[in-house]
Amino acid sequence: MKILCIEDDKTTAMTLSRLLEKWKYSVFSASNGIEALQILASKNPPQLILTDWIMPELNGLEFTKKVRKKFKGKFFYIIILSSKTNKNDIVEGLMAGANDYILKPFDPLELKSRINVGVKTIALQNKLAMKVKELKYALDRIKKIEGLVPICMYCKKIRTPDNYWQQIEEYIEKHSDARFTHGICNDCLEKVMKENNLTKN
Amino acid sequence: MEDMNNCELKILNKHSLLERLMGDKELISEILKVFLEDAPRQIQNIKISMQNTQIENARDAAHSLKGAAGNIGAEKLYNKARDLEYALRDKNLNLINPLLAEVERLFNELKTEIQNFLSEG
Repeated sequence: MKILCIEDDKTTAMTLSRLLEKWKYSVFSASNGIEALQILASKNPPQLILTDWIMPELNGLEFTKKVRKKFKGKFFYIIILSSKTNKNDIVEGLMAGANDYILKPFDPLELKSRINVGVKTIALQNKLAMKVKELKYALDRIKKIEGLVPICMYCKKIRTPDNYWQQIEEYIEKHSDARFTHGICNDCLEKVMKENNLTKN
Repeated sequence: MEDMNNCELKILNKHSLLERLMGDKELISEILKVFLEDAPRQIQNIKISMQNTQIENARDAAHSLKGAAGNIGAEKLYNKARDLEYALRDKNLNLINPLLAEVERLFNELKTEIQNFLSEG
């Protein structure tokens, strides 16, 4: 699983990436929010993001807000990792759109388990997104007839939007999944026989 | 890091460093080396920002240094860098220079300790 690490302090950045590699993550590194946004704009970007808050160029808070605004259809799990340890900071970070907030200096086991929560959430979110896609695909393929259908009161042909009078079977077959088998009802049978001077044998 | 508020702060808390890096000694020495290279740059950053009266840059550099110090279990430097960060944040000008001097002194103390630690293997 890929993980994006955004950290300007080299010592912490190295600690993070080595630990994450140890835990079998494939680590992408950025030293500010601008670099990180570029990574996210690439093909198949990491969905799990660990970001510092105080950084030059674009800080972690602004980065989080930008991601939420810019990538509305995509799911990213963002953990802010910061030594801004006030309650107000934590609230501000989460309000900006972060999924989690870890205090620095971090405890490695805590970090590991919180990342695990992120991994599970991402898996769930991706499964959900796939289901929604499947449903949408299926829905697009369900044909239905609705609204006002103009029909000839005598021959029962239906007028199409391009002013062509279409046989009712043809119309229904085109606009629904129904299919016809042709037969003849008793009233019509009698009528047809009369018209052709036939009698029942 | 609650123990950082106690009076018995360590220059370098090797125990917490080992715990933080899950006992990986190779990784520890690698990170300590990066710290020795990078921390003077951050201190320099603070000074230059102060000279150019970019107090906010100086505050951010102090914040970074604090983070780096916390990361390696340099408790005394962590606390002092935090005080410096807050003094810069609150533009408490008469505190800044003495704190900066303290940060530098603590860094040099730490440097010796790290070098000893690294040479012990």
